[in-house]
Amino acid sequence: MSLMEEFEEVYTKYKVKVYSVCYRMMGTKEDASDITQDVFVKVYKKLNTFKGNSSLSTWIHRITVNLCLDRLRKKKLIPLYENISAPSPNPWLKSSIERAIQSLPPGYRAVFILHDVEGLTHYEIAETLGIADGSSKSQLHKARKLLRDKLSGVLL
Amino acid sequence: MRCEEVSENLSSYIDGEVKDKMEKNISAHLKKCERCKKEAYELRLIKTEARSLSPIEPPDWIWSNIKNTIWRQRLFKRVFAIASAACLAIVIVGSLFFIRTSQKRAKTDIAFERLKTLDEAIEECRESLRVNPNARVRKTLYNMYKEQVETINLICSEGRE
Repeated sequence: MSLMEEFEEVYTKYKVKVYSVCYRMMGTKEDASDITQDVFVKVYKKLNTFKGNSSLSTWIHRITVNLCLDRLRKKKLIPLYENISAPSPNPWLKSSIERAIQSLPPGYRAVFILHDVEGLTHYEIAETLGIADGSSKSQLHKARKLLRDKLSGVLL
Repeated sequence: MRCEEVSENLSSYIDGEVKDKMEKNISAHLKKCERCKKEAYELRLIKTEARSLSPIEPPDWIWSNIKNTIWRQRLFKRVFAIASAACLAIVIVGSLFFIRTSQKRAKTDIAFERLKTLDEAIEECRESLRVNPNARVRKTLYNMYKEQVETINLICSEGRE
């Protein structure tokens, strides 16, 4: 299998995860698309050096979150939420949560998205973000509390 | 257990990450405290709803953009490698040419110096022959003329190369 074919497989496998994280971190399709492209160009360059899906997955998450945080830092961006048209059984609550996620501080937002939306463990988040397990737990706790405060009128 | 302590640990509690004793204490507290029970319910709801947020499909054009970027970078890398090799070749050839030209020039300069010395020596020899003609001086003059011719030939041949 050529490098490009292997890369296409990786893209197919991770594109939705990467784009979803980017979109939820950044809040705009434009930024999410830009960062998704940057992530995969980086992945292509280093693909040869990875053996085993676990490290690749962690690494892809790490680049994704770091690029998002960099972009947020540079732009001092306050995310603009664009409506997601995906159907859901409780779209009103879901879209409120999506909106509330955007208002979290970037660090808390990253941990919340990786843990509660993407389902990563604290160990994986710690690996991904280069922080301690305990720090991941504490940031998740704070993120949930902030979300609860923001959604106080909606959570019934 | 106080409400503050429960609140501090609720997030870990709903993730099932607290130890048995703490879990029992929190569960017991939640049974009798409506405020903490509501908080636990809301945190659990946030967690559940977040987990069920739809994955978002990226637009199709992203893949072709990525491929184009990779292709451009590879092309740039190749062009850069070729340009670097060409530059290196030019530097090597230039240096060799410079060294060779310098050596040639040095050789020619020495030959010119020698020619000048020979001219002066020949002039002195001819003067000496006019005053006192003898075979030894004639022989010396002959040798000097011979060397002069050889030196001129050397200068001419260096110039032709």
